[in-house]
Amino acid sequence: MAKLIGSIDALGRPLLRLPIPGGHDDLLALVDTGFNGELMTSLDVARSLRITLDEDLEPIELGTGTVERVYVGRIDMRWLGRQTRVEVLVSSRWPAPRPDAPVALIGTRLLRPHQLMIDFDADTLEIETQA
Amino acid sequence: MPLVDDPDVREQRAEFAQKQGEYWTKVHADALAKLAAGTTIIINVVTGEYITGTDRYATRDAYDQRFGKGKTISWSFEKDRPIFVGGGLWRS
Repeated sequence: MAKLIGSIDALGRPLLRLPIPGGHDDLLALVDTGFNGELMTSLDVARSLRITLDEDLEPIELGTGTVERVYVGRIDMRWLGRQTRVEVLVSSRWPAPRPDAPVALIGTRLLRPHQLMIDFDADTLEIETQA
Repeated sequence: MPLVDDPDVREQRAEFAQKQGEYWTKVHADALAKLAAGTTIIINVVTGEYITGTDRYATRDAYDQRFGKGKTISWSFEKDRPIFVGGGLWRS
């Protein structure tokens, strides 16, 4: 059974450090259960991770109902003990992050079929594979 | 096509991809309506040709094989399965 442990920050956001291959620093990611994709990040972060992006675009719908467009890329990464190919949606409109701010979103497609446990009292977050 | 560094040109191309992608989606509406929900559809926005498949990675590979990786501008989506960011409260 594999497990990732994160935390709830002072702003109430469920955060997790995602291990990225190739000697990159971990990515601070927000677990966003309102996002039904796998992973989303900014163009700057995607480039720093050397994700190859072409002119392949896909629509996404924001919580307001606004439709935005994002680029589609892939990254091979270690996820819950397994080497996994992950689809990355890349926004060119993501604002430059402040220090210690999350730079990626983890969506429910990446969480499936695992178990997400958030304790907002203890400020802890765990994602683990099902037995 | 690889992304260009110039943000204005990149934005113009993205807008072109969206408009053409939505146009071709309407043109092919009857054929696309027969596909199962969740089918991945990738449209070459210049020619209007498209590739479909049940697995998004395999569909992308098939698209790249047919048109050449990084040689086109494409618009892709999964039928009846929009990607929501931050809720998707309004249409669900």
